[in-house]
Amino acid sequence: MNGMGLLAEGGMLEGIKHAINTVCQPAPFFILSSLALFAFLYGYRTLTQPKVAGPLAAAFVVFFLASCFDPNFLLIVKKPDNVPIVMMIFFIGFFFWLAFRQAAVNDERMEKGEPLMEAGADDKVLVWPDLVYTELISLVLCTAFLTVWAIVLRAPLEQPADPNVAPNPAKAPWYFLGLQEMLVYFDPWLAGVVLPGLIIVGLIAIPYIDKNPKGNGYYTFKERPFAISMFLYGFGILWVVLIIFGTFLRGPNWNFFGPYEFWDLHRPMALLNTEMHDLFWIGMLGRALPTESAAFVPGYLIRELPGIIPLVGYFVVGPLVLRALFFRKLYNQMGFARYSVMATLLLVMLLMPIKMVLRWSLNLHYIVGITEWFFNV
Amino acid sequence: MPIPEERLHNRDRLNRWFAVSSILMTVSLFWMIEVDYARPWRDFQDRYAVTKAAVAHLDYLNAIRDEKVSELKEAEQRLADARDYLEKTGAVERERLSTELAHAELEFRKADAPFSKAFQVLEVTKDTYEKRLGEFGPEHAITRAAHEQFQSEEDEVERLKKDKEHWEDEKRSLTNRLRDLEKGVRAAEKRVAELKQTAEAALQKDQQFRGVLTDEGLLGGLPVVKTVMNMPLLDFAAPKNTPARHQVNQLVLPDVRQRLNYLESYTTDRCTTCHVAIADPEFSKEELARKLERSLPGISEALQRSGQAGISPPAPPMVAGTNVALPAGRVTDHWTELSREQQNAYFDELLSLVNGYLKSTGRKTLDLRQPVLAHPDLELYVTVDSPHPMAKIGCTVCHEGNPQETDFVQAAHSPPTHAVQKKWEEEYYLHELGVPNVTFETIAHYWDRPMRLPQHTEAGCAKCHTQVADISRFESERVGTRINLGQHLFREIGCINCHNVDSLKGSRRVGPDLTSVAAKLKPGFVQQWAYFPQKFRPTTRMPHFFGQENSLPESRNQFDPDPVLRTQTEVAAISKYLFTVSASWAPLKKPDDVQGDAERGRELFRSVGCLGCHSNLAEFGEEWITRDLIHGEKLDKETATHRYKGMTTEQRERYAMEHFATQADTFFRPEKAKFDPDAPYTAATFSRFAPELSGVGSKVSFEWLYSWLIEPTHYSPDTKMPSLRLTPGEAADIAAFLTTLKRDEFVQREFEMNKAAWDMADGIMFTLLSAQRSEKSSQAMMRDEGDELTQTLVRLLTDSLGERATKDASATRFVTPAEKRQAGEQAAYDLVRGLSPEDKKLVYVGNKMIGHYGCYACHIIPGFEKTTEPGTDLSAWAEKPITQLDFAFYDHAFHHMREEKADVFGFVYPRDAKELNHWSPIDDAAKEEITHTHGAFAKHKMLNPRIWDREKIKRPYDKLKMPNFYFSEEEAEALTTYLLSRIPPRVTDSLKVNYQGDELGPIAKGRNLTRELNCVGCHQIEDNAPMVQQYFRRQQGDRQVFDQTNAPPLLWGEGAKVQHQWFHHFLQQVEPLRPWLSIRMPSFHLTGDEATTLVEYFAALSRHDSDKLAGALAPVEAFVKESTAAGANSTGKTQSEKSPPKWYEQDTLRESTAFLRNWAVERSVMRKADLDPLTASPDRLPAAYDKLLKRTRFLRDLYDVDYPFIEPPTPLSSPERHALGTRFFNDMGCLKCHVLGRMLPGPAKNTDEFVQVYRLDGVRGDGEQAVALINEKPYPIGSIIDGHKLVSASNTYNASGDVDTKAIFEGPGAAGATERVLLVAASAPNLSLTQQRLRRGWVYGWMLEPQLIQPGTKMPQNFVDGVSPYAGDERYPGTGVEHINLLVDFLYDAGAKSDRMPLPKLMAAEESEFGEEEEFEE
Repeated sequence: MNGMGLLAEGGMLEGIKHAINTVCQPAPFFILSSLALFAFLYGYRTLTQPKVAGPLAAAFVVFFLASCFDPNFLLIVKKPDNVPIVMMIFFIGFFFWLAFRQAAVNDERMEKGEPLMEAGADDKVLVWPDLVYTELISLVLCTAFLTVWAIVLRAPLEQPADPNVAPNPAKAPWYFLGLQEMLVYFDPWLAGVVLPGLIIVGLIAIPYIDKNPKGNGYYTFKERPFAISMFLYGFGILWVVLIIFGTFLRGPNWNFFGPYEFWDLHRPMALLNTEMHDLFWIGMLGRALPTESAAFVPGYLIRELPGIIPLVGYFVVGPLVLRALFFRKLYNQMGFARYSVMATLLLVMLLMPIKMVLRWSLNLHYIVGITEWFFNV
Repeated sequence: MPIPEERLHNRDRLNRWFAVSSILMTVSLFWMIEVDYARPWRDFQDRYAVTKAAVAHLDYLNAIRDEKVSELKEAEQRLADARDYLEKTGAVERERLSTELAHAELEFRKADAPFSKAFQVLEVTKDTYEKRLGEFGPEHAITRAAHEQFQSEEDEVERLKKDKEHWEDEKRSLTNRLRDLEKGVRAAEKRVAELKQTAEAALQKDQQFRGVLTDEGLLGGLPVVKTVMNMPLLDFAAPKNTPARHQVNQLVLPDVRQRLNYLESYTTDRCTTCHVAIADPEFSKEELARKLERSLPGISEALQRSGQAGISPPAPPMVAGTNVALPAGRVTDHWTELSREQQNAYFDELLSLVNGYLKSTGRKTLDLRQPVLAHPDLELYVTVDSPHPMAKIGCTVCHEGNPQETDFVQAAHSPPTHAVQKKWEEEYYLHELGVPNVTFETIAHYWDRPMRLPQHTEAGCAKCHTQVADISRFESERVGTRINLGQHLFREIGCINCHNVDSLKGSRRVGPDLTSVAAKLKPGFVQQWAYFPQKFRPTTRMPHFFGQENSLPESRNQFDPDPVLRTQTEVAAISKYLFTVSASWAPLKKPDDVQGDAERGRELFRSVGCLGCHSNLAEFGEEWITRDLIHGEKLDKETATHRYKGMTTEQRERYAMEHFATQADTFFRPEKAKFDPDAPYTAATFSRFAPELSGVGSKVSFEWLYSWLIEPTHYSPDTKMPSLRLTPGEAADIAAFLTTLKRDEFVQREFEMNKAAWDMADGIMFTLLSAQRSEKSSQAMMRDEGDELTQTLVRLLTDSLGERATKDASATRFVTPAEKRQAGEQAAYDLVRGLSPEDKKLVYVGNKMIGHYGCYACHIIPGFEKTTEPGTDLSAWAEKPITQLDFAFYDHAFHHMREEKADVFGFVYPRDAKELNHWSPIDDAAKEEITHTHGAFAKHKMLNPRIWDREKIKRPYDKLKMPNFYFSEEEAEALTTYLLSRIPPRVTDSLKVNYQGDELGPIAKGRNLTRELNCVGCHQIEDNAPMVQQYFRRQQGDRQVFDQTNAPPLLWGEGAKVQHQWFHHFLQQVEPLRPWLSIRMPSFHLTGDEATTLVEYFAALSRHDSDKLAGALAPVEAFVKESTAAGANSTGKTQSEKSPPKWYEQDTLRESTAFLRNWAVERSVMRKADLDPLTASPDRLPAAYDKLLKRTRFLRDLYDVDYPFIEPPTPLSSPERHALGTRFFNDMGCLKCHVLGRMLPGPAKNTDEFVQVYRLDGVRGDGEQAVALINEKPYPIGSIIDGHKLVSASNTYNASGDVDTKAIFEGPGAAGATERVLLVAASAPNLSLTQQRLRRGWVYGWMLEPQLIQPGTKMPQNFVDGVSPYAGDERYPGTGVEHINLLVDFLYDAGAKSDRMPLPKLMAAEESEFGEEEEFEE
C-alpha cells in the first residue's frame, strides 16, 4: 500500500474528506464559489501575480491528484466522458488567470500613465503562408490528438439505448448540464424554454446595450468592472459551476453527492418542498388558503398574491431601486429603453441564484404556483 | 514586391512544426490500426489453427507408421505377385482373349453401322405409313404399298439387330472374361493406390499446416505470410478456410430478437469468433482424446526413428465401481463409461505426452481448453442435425451475454465468484492509462442480460419450451432437470401462492385448510408450530417465519427492542384469531362396534398405500438409517444401530433429508432412487411430498384421524389427500396406529400472555394503527370507543361468516348477497360481542399479522377470501434492472467493508445465530459468492431470506418477511434457475415449441399433473422410480429383488393398452382391478378436465415412445435390409457362410444403437450385461442384438396408437366359434389365475355355490393368527360363513417368489357330505372387463409377449414365438395367430354378453396337484 493509501486510513483524512463533501453540497458550494469569484475580482491584482497564482495553482493540482487516491473521486473524474470537463476546470482557471493577469498589468500601466501592453502591436500577417500553414499544422495536430484520445479513452460502455428504460442518472450532454440543473429549481417552461431563450436573446442584445468602447482590443478590468463582473458571474457561476454540479456532483436519482461519496442508488433523501402561499397564509397569518374569488379576481390569484406581488415588484421596482442605488450614471448614459432591457435581463439572471438560495434555505418550491395555468415560477 | 520579413512568421520553424506534427499523425494512425488489429480473439483463432495443424501432423505420423509402411509394401508385393501370376499363367489366355475381343469389336462396328442406318430409314417409312393410313384408310392401295415397304424394312432391321447384338454379347462376354483374368491385379492396384493416397493426403495436409505449427515454411517463415494475409485491407483476399486466416465469425439469427428503440431486430452472435471450434465435432474432448490416443504409436515410432526412446500410452483408468482396467491404448473406445474426472485426468495425460513430443521437435504445443473446444454436448446443441442447431438459434439465446462483442469482458461473461472475478480481471481486462476500460461491475450494471452461469443455463430453455415439463431426457442423459425441478418446487412448496407467475396461474394452495382448525388442533400446538414448525417436524414444507436473523434477540434495535417477545405475541395473536373464527366441525362418527387395533393398523398402513405419499421414520427410520450408515460409513451393524439409537428424532429426520433420495429425485433423478438388485445398496427414498408421520399422534386426535382417513374432503374440501376407500374398521385401525406415533418431547404450550406480552400486543396494535391515523384516534380505537374496534372486526368477518351461515341454505336455493351480508353481520357481531376488550385487540392484531406475513396465501383462513398474493410478482423477475434489487450491504460498493467485517458478512447465516446455523447446511462462502447478479441475489435470498437485512436498522414491519424454507443448495439453485427464466423470451414463434399440434403438449401437462397428484409415487410411468417401490422387495436367495407382482402396476404403454373412454371413467370412479394387490389405487377428486389430461398424457406418451423407437429403428432396419440383400446377391458364398450384418457395430448407426440399447435396458426389455461389448461374450452378442431389434420393433408397433382411440364395437362371433373359444379358454387354464364375471349373490347353500359367491381377496398374518379377506371383509380362522368354516389360510411363496394365497373352508358338499374346499385368491384381473377396458390389438400383443410389455408380470408366455401350445391339436385347427384370435374374440364376446364362467371347484385334496401344475407350467 502506498503512502496516500496509508494516510487514507487515518481519521484526519476522512475528516477532511467529509468536510469537503459537506462544502460541496449545493448551497455552500454555490455560495462559496460566488464569493470566490467576487473575491477574485476584488483582489485580482494580487491574486494573479505569479508568486501568488503559481502556488495556488500548484496547490489545486496537488489537491486534485491527491483526491484521485479516493476511489469514488477517481471513478468520476476518469470516466471517459467526464475527462473533457476535468480539462475544462483547468482551462477555465488558466484563462481566468491569463486574462486578469494582463488586465492587472494594463490597469497598473494605465494608472502610471504608461502605454498598454497591446499598444503598437501590429498583428497583421499574410494569409499564405502564415495563416493557412498554421491552420494546416493545427489541423494535423488536432487530428493526431483526437486519434490518440480515441485510442486511450475509449467510448464508455453504457446500457443499450432503450426509450422505455431511462438510465439513472439521466444526464444531458455536458454543455447542457447547466440548463438541466435549472430544471431542479424551475418549471420546464421556464428552465427549458424561457430562460435558454433569454440567454440567447441577451447575448444577441449585448452589442446594442453595451456601446462602451473601453476595453476594446486590450485587457482591462478597471475600466469595465460591472460589465465584466456580470458576464463572468453568468458564465463562470451560472454556467460553468452548474456544469460541474451536473457532471461531478449529481448522482443517481439526481441526488447530490460529495466528490468522495459513493453514488448509492438506495440513499434516501429528505426533499419535502413548501410553497410560498403556504409560508405566507398558513405560516405567517395562520389562516387557511383563500379560495373564494373577490370581484373579478379568482381565488387562486388571491392565494398567490404573496408570490405575485414580490415577483412583479422585483421586475417593476427592481430597476428603479437599482438605478437609485447603483446605476444612476449608467442610466444617464443608456437612456430609459436600453436601461430597462439591461435591467430586466440582469434581474432574470439573478432570479436563478435567488431561487436556488430560496430552495436551499426554505425548501421553497414555487414563488408563484398557479398550477391552474401551469404558471409556476 | 518583396514581402517584408518582419511580417512573416519564421518559415523554417513552421516547417519543423509541420514535420513534427506529420510524424505525430502518422504514428497515431499506425497506433490506431495496431490497436484496432490486436484483438484477443485472434489468439484464439491461432490456437485453433495450431491444434488443427498438430492433428494433421499426428495423422501424418500415423500414416507413415512402420505398420502402414509395411502394409503398403505388402500390398505392392501382392500387386507384383498378381501381375507376375497373370504374366506367367494367364499370358496365353489373355493374348487369345485380347485378340478375340479386338475381332469382336471390329465385327460389331461392321454390324452396327447398317443397323443404325436401316433403323432410321424405318422410322421415316413408319411415319409415311402412318400418314397414309390416316389420309386414305387401310384399304387404299397407296396405304398398302406403304405398309408393305414398312414390313419389309422392319424385317431387315430385325435381321440386322440380331447380328449386331450377337457381336455385342460376344464383346461383353470377352470383356468379362478378360476382367476376371485381371481381377487380382486390379484389386491389388486399387489397394496400393488407396494406401498411397491416404499417406499422400496426410503428408499434404501436414505440409499445408506445417508453417502454422513450426513458424517456418513458405517465404522463410509463415508469420510473414500470416501477417500479410491478415493485415488490414488485405485480409479479405485470402480464400476462406486458409489455415491461420483470421476472421470475425457471425451468426445472423432472424428468429432470435433484440429490442432496439421502438422496434425489434434480429440478433447477430459473434461468439464463434473466439469459440471457433464450437461446432467442430473433431474438437470435442472425446474425439480429441481419441485422436491423441491413436497418435501415440505413431509418435513413438517417430521418436524411435530419430533415435529417442518411444513413449507408451498412459495407464488406463479403472471401470467405475470395479477393479477392471480398460484396455491400454484403447481407453477412448469406452469414453462414456469413464467419470468426468477420469476423462479429464486421462485427457491431460495424453495431452502432456503429445505436447512433450511436439516440444521436443520444435513445434508449438497445444492448449486444449475453451474457447478452442467443441460444445460439450454436440448431440443436443450447436451442430446442424442436433435439435438446437447453432445456425438457427445461436448462442446467446441460452447463454445470454452481449452477442456482438468480441472482447471477453464486454461480451458480458459472468464471473461466478469474487475469486474467479479476480483471476479473470488479471487475464482479460484491457487497461488504458492503467485502469480497465470496462469492468465486470460496469457490465453487471449496464447490460440487461449478462451471461448466465453454467448452473443457470437451463433458464434459457423456458424461452422456447414454455411449459418446461416437456423438456425430457435425451437418451440416457438428463437435461432440463434443474429448471424442471425449479418449476416443480415453485408450485409444490407454494412459492406460487405468494408470488404470482403468469404462466403458473391457477395453482392450488399448498397449506391445509384452516377453516375448522379448532376441531383439529390445540392452540398450544398451533402456536409452537407456527413459531417454529421444524421443531416439531423438521421435514415439513411449512416455512419458518420467526426466529430468523432479523427477529433474533441480536437484531434488536431502537424500533424493535424485543424481537422475540414481539414475534411470540404475534404468533399468539394469529392463533387467537384462527381459533376465534374457526368454524364448528364434527368428525365423521365411527360405528360403535368398530374398535381400532393399532397392530392391524400398522400392517394396513404398510400395505394399503399410505406409503406412496407419506414417509414414516418411526417405522422405517431405524432400518434405513442403519443400512445407510453401514453402507456409507462402513460401520458394522451394531455400531450403526447404536449410532441410530443415540440420535434425537430431529437428527434422524435431518439425516433422512440429507442422505436419502427425495420425492423430486424419483422423477428428476431416478437413478438416485431406482432399485438395482445387483448394486450393493440403494438409498431409501424419503418423501416430503406429504407430511412425515412419525409424530402425528401428538398432533391430532384419534377421532379426527378416523374421520380424515374415511373421507379427507369432509374436513378439507380442497385437500390433495385422496380417499383409499377404507372401511370403518380399516380406518379405525390405521387411526389407532397413527395415534401411537407420539413426539412428546415437543411441548405444546401457549405463549404466556403476561403483562409484558399484553403490552407488546398493545404496542403492535398501536404501531399498526398509528401508521394510518393519529395517536389519539389510535388509542381511541384500541379502547373500542364508539364500538369502532368492534365494527372493524365485524367488517373483516362479515363476508366469511355470511358465506358460512348461509351454506346450508344455498345448497337448496339462491341466497341473495344482501341476505348473506345480513347473516354475516349478525354472525360476526355475535362472535365479536363475545370477546373481552383485550381479546378483541388480540384478534385484530392476529388478523393484521396474518395479512402481514401472508399466511392466507397458502392456507384457507376465514376473513381472507378476497386477498391477493402478498409477495412480489415474479412473472418477469429476471428482467428487473439489477439496481432494483436491494443487496443492502452486499452491494458491490460495500465490498471493502464486507471484507473487513468478514465475521458479520462472510456467512449465509451469522455464526452466532445458533438456531439457524443448526438448520443450515451452508456455512460460509457468502462473501465469495454474493456477486452483484440476479442469480446470486435469488440464491442467497432463498438460502437465507433475511440476509439483506443484515446490519440494517429497520422498523419491525419494514423488515424482510419472506420465511425460511431451509432449502438445500441444490433446491436453491433450481429455484434460482427457474426465476432467471422469468424473462421476456424474445424469440419468434417459429422457435417456440408448438404444444398444440404435438405430443409434447399433453405430455407436459400430464407430467405436471402426475407429479402434483403423486401418481409417480406408486406407478412407474416414464423412467421414474416410484417411492413406494422401496417397500416391495423380497429376498431371493442371498439377494433382494423387486417384487413387481405385488407392487402397483407399471404404466409403460398404458395409452396403447386401455380404451380411453374406460380410462377416463376409471380415473374418476376407481374400482379395484387387480384383486391380488393389497395396495390400493386411491380415489382422487379429479375433475373431468384433469381426467382428460391424464388420458391424453398416456396416449401421447405411447405415441411418443413409438415415434422415438421408430426414429431410432428406421436407419437400423434400412441397414439390415440392405446388407441382407447384398448378402443374398453376392455370388460364390452361400448365406450360411456369411455372418449376419453386425448393425450395432456400425459407426453410422452409433446414435441409434445407443438409443435402442439404453431404452431397452431402462425398460427392462433387455439386460445391460447382455448388450455390453465389455461384459458379454462376443459370440452371444449378435443374438442379443437380434433380440433387441425384434423386441423394440414389437413395442414400436404395439405403442403405435392414435388418440383419441375408440375401440370399434365388438362383432359377436357365431355360437359355434364362441363355443370353440370357450373350450379353448378352458383348456388354456386361464381361470387358474383370472376370474371371468361377477360373483353370485349369496347365501351359499353348499360348497359348489360357495366358490361362486365368495372370493378370497387376501390373507394377513399366518398360522392360527391368519385373517382371510373374503369379499373384502376380514375373517379370522374359525369363522363361519354361510355354514362354511374357515379352516386355514396362508400365503406361501413359491420358488420364483410369487405368492399363492389360499384358504380352506369346510362345508356341506352338493351331495350332503362335508367336504373341504379350496379358495385361491385370484392373481390376475377379472377378464369380463377386457372388452370395455383394453384395446384389442394390445390384448393380442399381450398374449404374445407379456414379459416384454410388463416386465415381471405373472402372466405366462403361452405363445412362445407365436406358436400355440395346442399347435397340431385336431380340435383347434389353425396357426398360433388364429388361436390367439380365437381367444381374443372369445374374451370380447364374453365381455359383450356379460358372460360368467363357472369357477372350477378345487378340493383341498387337489392342492398338491394344483401346485404341481403351476410349476409345470412355468
